[in-house]
Amino acid sequence: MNNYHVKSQKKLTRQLLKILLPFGLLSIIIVWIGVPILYALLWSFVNPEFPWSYPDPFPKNLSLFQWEYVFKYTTIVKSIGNSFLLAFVTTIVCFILALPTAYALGRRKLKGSEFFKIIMLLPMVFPGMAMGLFLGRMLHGMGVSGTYLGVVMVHTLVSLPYMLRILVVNFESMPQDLIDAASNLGAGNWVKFKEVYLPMILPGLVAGAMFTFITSMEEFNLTFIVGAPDITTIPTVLYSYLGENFLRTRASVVSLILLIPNLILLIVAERKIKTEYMGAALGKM
Amino acid sequence: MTTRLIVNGIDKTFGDFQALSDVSFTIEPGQFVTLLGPSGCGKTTLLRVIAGFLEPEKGEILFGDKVMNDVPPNKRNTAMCFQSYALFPHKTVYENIIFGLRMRKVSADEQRKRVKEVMEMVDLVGLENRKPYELSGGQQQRVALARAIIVRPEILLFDEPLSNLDAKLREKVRVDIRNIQHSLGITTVYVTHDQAEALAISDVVIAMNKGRIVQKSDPKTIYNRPSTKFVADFIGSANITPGTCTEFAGSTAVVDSLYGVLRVQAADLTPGEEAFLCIRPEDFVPIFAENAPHAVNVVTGSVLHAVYMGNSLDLFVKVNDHVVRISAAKDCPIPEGSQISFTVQPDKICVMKG
Repeated sequence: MNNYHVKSQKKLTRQLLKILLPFGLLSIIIVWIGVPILYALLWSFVNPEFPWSYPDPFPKNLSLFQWEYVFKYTTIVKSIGNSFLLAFVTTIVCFILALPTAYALGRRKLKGSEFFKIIMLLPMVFPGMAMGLFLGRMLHGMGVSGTYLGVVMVHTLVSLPYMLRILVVNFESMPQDLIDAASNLGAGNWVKFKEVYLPMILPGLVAGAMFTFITSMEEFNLTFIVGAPDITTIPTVLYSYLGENFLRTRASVVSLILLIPNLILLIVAERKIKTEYMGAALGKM
Repeated sequence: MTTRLIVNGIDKTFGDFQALSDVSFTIEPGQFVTLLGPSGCGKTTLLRVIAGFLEPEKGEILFGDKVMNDVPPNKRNTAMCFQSYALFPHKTVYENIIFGLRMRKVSADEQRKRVKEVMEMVDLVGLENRKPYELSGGQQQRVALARAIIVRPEILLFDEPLSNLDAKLREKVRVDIRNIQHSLGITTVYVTHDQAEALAISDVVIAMNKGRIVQKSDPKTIYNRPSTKFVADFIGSANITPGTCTEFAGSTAVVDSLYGVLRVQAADLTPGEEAFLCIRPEDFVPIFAENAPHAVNVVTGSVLHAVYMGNSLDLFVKVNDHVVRISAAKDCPIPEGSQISFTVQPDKICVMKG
């Protein structure tokens, strides 16, 4: 075989790889995420009169029985309310805590700021259960076990790193010239914050809020240890069906309830972030 | 409205690095002054001290008779054009330009009037609602200029504003900047490392090196009479040779240099004194048969390279083992390898003591 042939074959292989690789990855993702969701959907509609068992590929009979049961006879409605309330409050608290901290770490040349940047990520790497056991004792001692305050505190602890990390990077990457230009033209601190910092970190703020919200919505370990049994959220209800009294059908219903709002949030936020970032990224600064 | 700027004994250090040491000068109202020097010479630091972004350890900045040291940047009434333009990326051209007026609480009517005025002045009419990233580099530069001049500052500051433009545009914009500054009469400090730009645009050039002012002169003087080797070398190209004075009579000295014995017009040299001579390439004139008898300071050498530059023919001539650069007329028939003689008038030789 001559040289030209080898080359053109190599080129063909590369082109094929270019198509096959993304396609293959996409397929894996679809299978990994799609199939469980599909099964959850199917399981949630199984009619308990006609159990779904091997070797049937699909349930024999579909009904809304499990959905009705979960909404009528469990604390799910209250838990959904709790979850959203907690996620909302946690996001606000994270925002209030993260904004000045991120500003200090990102814009001011503080001694040891690199050290603080690592410290602030620790809650992300600590195993939730390990942290929960000791934190639970502490919060119990403080008398906030089983209160909304206590749960918001632990949710803030685990979600804050996401918000902080994103905002610190945002603040760091803001050109000093822009800030100087604003003060040079007569802007005081409040105007600089409102008209320069805030619009520039808005994409990061949206992304951070999204991560915070979702983390809070899905947080189980600490919620369970600090909140149970007084405060239940969607995940604690979900886990209660996964223990000894394992009920796949009901767990499917609850997991879908947990999944759907997060999915919607992700899509909406992603749209928002993209358009905002385009503006900032393309501005020749 | 025009203001005198006085910089008095400014010291500024960053850690161990002395960025500015004992910098003093005065800029008369309405003057266009350039701070010129290589990168790291302290020129941008000085500009930032004047704008108030940096606090000097020692010395004073005065606008007129007001000491500005304790006045924060947003109260100084300076306006700066940044090298990066620093346009607010989330604001439109119009919003960018009126920013300074809003901060100064100028009435809406007045705002509209002045925006219209400056937009015409910098030729941006029709682009009001664009975002900065939708503009070309030249347009962004003009928005930055408009945003600065609209506030009618006491002092206008430029930090290498043209370095991101291509060469052709740079020449056009620097003329525009000069004309606008002239018509407004605002005292201006302009930072650049481009010596041609500095000569073309300024009333006064301040050459800086290692945090110190080396020379402050009008463009002609700084080019023709550089006070040190650094200035001679940094501005334009120069043939620099050490020399020893052997005779001094009237206002003419005879100096023994690397290029031979030269007659130099100088104010004060004593026999035996050592100094440096600076001779600009275009002041060396090749000698042909017709002008030979009248020539003084004749130097002879062989042409190593002849480089055709378009507007001149640059010769690199080997004289006593040293290379001399000569800028000859563009159609001079001098081939590489030939022997040539050339001359320089005594008053074209600049004597430098350091």
